[in-house]
Amino acid sequence: MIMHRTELALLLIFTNIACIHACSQKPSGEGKALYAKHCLVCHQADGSGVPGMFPALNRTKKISEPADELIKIILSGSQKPADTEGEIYAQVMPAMNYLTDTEIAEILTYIRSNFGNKATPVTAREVSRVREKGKRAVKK
Amino acid sequence: MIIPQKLLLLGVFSGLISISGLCQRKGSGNINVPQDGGLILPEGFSSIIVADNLGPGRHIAVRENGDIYLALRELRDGKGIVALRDKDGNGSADSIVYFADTRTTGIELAGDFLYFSNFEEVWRVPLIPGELIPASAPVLIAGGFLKQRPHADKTFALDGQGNLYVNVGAPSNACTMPDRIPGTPGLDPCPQLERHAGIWRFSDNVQGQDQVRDGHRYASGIRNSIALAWNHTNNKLYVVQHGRDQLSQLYPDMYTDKENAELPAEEFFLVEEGDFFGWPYCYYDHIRKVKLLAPEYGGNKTATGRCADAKGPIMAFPGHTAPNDLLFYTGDMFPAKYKDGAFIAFHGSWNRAPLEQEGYYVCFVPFRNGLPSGDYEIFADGFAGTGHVKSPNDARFRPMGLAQGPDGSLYISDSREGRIWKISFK
Repeated sequence: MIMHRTELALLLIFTNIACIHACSQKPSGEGKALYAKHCLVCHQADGSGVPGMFPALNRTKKISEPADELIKIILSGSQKPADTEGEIYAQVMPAMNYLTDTEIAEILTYIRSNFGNKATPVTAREVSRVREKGKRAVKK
Repeated sequence: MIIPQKLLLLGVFSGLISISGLCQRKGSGNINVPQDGGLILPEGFSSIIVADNLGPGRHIAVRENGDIYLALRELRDGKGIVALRDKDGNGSADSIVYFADTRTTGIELAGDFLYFSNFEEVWRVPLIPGELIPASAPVLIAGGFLKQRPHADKTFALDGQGNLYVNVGAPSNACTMPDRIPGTPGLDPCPQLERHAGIWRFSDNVQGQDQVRDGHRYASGIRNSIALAWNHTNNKLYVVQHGRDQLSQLYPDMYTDKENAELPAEEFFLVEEGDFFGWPYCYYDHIRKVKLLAPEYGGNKTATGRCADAKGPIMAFPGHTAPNDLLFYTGDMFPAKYKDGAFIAFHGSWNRAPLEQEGYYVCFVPFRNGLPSGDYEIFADGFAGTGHVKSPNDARFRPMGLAQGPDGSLYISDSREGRIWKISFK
């Protein structure tokens, strides 16, 4: 019994060590709460948006395409009229660059795996890369 | 020979919006036998469906002969206005024609002219007696406004005495830079008030007018008044304002989501020349019945500060319900209490999320001597369907535009599928 307990303890330690490496890349489950805090009022709880005002996230191909463009929109906002799947949206997307890389990754992972979307998770590293690239572009 | 510059300008302005390439649709929006409109109405009233699936509707106008003109938020077959005629007189439209190559919002009939607007300008086109659609190109009446994304609809009212009043909405939520980012203070004084957030007056009969050169800032401090109408009983302008958004998202330490759902009020204004109504510095708390300082300007939910000097509303409605059209009823069909009273179409909220949405109905406000003479009541309901509206997309229909028919009936347009209802009293 004691042996078993030790094995279990070791297993837990190893799992945690493994997690330090891998789990930073995985969604922590905070995405839903972060979406509720920063996105929901405009894009709505079901991701359906508001007709003529805020784009839908539940029937938009762009959501499931490579994430760089989505990361850019969150970081820099969008002033140009969004024309998504033929519908025009009047409101602007604010630049939300005050969110951390992890927060943006969590939010995008939540959006990309909910509302009927089945796209790959987004990592903080990807967000960081796009953020740095944007900064370099500005410096040039 | 020197051609006066004004004439040259006329040549440029006329014809920018073409009405050619008309497209007659038969059958698509056409209902042969009028169906019950399915709306919830007071005793004695009934509704029928005039037409369906016309495209996302905005404002609506009805001509002396009963012809209907519906502005469209998005082009249908490249056209932004749909004209409807009921040839057999059974209540449902049987001739439906699309024209005008711009998406439109405000639309009014005055004399022999159809006035309409889009995000940038106000236009007009003459109508030919007996003809459903115009034959000539529309001409620009008022333009030169700054380009803006939010609150761009240049809705308008005509006073019948030569003046056109244009709503120029605020290009932001509460005059912060950047817009809608938590904790950003408001610009003080707000530079957006110079060209936005007010009502600009123009002549209704001069072509090619420019906001700066020809427009007169009639009233200011109005965030966005998509709903505006002239009241001919006392010759005054009235508007209903869309109040500011996102108190709890931008100031989570000060406001709960429940407070954000109710606040601030949508305000009903009697607008006189030179009035200032408070945006962006103030918002109206209809529960405490006071105009308060906005948090972007140091407000703390109780301080009034400079807002004591801002003109207050004549009535206040629950937050975010989106008043999108206002009509003073002058007909004889409805019972006496409706005479000269105001109908207001509430398009319905989005900003109450994560809580349930509100609005999606048409209210009636009784009037006497130019002021409300009693509380508002919900006149027409049931647009959204039977379920709860958590998100605007849950609503099957959303009431948008209002117009009075020549027989005193009330027409209501829908922004989702493009349905038109006609409300009659027995």
